[in-house]
Amino acid sequence: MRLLLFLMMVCLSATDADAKLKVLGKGERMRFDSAGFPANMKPGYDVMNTKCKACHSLERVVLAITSGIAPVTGQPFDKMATKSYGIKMLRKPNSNMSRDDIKTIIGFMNFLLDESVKP
Amino acid sequence: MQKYNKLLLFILLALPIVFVNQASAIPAFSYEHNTECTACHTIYPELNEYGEAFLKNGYVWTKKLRAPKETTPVKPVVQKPEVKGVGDQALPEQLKADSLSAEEDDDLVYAPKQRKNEPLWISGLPEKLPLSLSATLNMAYNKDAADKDKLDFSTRALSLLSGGVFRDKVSFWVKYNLYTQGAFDPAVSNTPLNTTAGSGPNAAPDIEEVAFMYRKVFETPVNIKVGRFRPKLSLWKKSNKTSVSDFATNTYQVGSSKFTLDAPEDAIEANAVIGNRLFVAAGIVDRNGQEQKERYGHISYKVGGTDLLGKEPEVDLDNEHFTDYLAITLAAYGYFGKNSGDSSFERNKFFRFGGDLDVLYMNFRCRLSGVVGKDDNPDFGSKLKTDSYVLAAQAEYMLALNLLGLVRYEYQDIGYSGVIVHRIIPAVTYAPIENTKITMEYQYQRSDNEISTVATDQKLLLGLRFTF
Repeated sequence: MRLLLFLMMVCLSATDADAKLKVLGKGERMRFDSAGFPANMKPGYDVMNTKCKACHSLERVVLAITSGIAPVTGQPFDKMATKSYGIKMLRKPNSNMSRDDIKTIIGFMNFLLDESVKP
Repeated sequence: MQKYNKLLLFILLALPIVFVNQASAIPAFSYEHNTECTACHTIYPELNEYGEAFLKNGYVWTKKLRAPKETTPVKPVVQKPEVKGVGDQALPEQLKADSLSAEEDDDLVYAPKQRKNEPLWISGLPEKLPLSLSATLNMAYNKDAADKDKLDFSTRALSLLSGGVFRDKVSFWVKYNLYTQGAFDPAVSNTPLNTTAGSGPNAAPDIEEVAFMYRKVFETPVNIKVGRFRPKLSLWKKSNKTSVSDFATNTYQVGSSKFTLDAPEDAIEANAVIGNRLFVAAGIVDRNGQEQKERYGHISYKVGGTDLLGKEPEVDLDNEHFTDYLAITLAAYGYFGKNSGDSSFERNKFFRFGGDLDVLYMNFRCRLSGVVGKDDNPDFGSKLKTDSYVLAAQAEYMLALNLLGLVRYEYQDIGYSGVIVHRIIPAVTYAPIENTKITMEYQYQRSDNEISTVATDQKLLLGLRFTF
């Protein structure tokens, strides 16, 4: 019985670990498939879908995360960059993003970066 | 009644512009970098912090580029292929793929966009032709117009713009006026272009600016700029605005002298961003027909906000502080020159000293600008020494992403005229789409001599500017 429980736990944790990024759509409709995201990342996904998309498509986010290069500037897109972009959006007039929104979305983009390098 | 009819006509003409809802926006920088206008502008053409950084660094995003992350295992560069005698169609692709997956040198600067088309990159050619057009249409309503022509539609301009950078080393900027009509004079007309070029149809079909800048000479922060351009004096070029009219500090003239702070000149300039927040520039101007060069210098420092290389400030996301949103830039500059009239060998020796302050806090921005000057012969004849003191203060607020309101006060005391001019200029600017700007501006001007008010003038301006 204990062995069975142990194997179940391994299977469940393996499901989380295998949540590789899937990209749906093309061009401006490009987006991440949220089906495999853990529940605690749902708020981040929701903020991205509402606040970020208010001004630009998610294509540039997908390209930045999957390539490691910010598509507009050609700069490296890593965890330092996610914080930098968060601060940029916080300070941008009329970006309509609160401090909590910024923290949530930085956490979500860092999660995406981690997922993107999983084999 | 008739005047209300004309005002109604004025507003009706503006309505189609206000409700326009579709356009294709591909100005040179937007097209080249595949980004929207608001990446660098509040409302085009006024620059935001990133636009300022992009401009100061010769149209380059300044951080060092790195290789993109590798997600595939590192493999050695290809093994020697088998020679088949008739060529191998698949070999070139295999070579490319294998070499791209090989380990990168940490110091290698990798520019993915530049390598999309290697022959173009090697040649230094941009992948897209960096050309755009900018059109300006202005209308003025002046109930006190001297010629009784209260509603003036006769001012317009069309300019060809080009800018970019060749392999991050040589940047360039070109502005060619294809067509201009009208001349800006608050008492006469309202086109804010070519203030010194006369009036009439197509008054100035000429190269307004053409400049090249060699970036980072000998890997130092110093850039060398040469050509016909606006010497770096004030923090803001006169085009860096949302209003129809320009800052008086940038455009005022003394006597018959055509010198303004923002006049394009044939010049060579060295400039540099030092320590991320200090900007310095110095240059010499060559004016035709005179033995001595003119000289100028500028220094500015930015506290808070995005630095001059476009890097965000450190912000503690867990603790809010008002300085998170505050940016202050201070500037000082000077110009020493000597010019002459169109048909005179008489010389006017002059100088200008100025200071600027730019304060940005969230949606609010305040700009202060002051200039003092002295001309020793501004009418090229009487040798009447003339002092000038000009101030401008502008407060602006971004009401929405595409809506900005501002009010400006100007004080202009030019000894030559014996009149002190006060102007109050409120304006609202709306961008229905990012490449289209509509400005409604009211100007109130009062002219005083030493005893009393000698004249007042009121004017309503409607400016439309679009670029594509």
